[in-house]
Amino acid sequence: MSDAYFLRQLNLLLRFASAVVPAQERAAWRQEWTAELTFVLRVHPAEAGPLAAGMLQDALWLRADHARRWCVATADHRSPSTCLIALSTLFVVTLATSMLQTRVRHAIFSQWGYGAFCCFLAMVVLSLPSTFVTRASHMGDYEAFSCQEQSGRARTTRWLFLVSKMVLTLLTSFLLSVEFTRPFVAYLGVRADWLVLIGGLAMNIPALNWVLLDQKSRCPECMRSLLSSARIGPPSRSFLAWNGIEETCDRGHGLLHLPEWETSWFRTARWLTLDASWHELFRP
Amino acid sequence: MSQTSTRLSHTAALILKALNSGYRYGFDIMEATGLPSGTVYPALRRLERDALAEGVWEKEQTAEEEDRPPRRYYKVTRQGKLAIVEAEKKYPLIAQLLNPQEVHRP
Repeated sequence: MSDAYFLRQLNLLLRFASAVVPAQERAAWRQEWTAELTFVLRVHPAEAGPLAAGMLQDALWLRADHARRWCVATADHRSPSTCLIALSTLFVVTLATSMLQTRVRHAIFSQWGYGAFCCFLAMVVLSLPSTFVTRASHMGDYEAFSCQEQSGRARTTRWLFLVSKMVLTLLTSFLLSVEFTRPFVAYLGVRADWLVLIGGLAMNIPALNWVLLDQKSRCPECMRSLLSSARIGPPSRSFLAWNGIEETCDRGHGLLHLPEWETSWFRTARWLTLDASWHELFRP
Repeated sequence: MSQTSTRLSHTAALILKALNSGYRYGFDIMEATGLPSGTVYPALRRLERDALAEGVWEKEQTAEEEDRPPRRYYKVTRQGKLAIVEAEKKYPLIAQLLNPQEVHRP
């Protein structure tokens, strides 16, 4: 390999890697690497290759760090869209993982996969009543937040959000249950189908529980996660618990009052709507 | 301080120790520690981001005298020196991993 060819390759790599570096750091990064390579080519030419090998890694690290800082600065982890993006990403990653495994891909798109999905849905339908009874005491329809007060748009958004979360978590659960149980097919044969059912049930119950718990801890108006949980009442009033918990919407839509149980505070969860005079205390 | 030391990996501690021993730029640290460039340079960026090391451009005049572009030298900050003390407690053999060659002082 001639020196000229090697230098041309180095230059190409430097240009390619510098394109990866965020624009505001690019000039300094390029200058630093140019200086390093010039010195090494002059003093230890044999070391230029190993040195240049880390150029792209360095550029990728800067790009990843830039993306991380951007996420920290701009991501709003309380917003419903962030929740849906996270769930969609999880679903896409799980789907991609499944599609990359030939056995799992064939299984999902076969008659067996269709049957397994139907059985999984049956398990969901079976588990739904118990999950709703234990978790769905209030799903945004609060006593003081009557249907007349809610805008139709807010109600539609709330239900759309709930359904989207359910669909995404259930589909991810199904894919995960198939992925986890497929390796056992070789040992268990047809009996492995039962594992898919059990795995599906074991995954869809916590998934649905999370969906409902998350829905309950959101503002019914804007669907953002509530914050500033404050315990209400003296400690150990209700056995070892407090009387209840108060949570706030950070956009100033209202306060959620959650009793520890029916007799400790209000009978059921209550939403206290804050009028416009409170809004200056909250961020827009 | 303890928070900084818990976040400092063995590799980062080794690079910080090398900087503190007088090795001042990426290639120098590669030679001193035996670590590849793909590890050393991102680690230097991370140390700089966490304010444990500080990068300074060489004076143009010095570089011109040697007929080369100015280089970026790194030095340990006060916070970095405290982190080294903590890291030496956590990784007692870290000093022995540096090559016992003469320290470069450009």
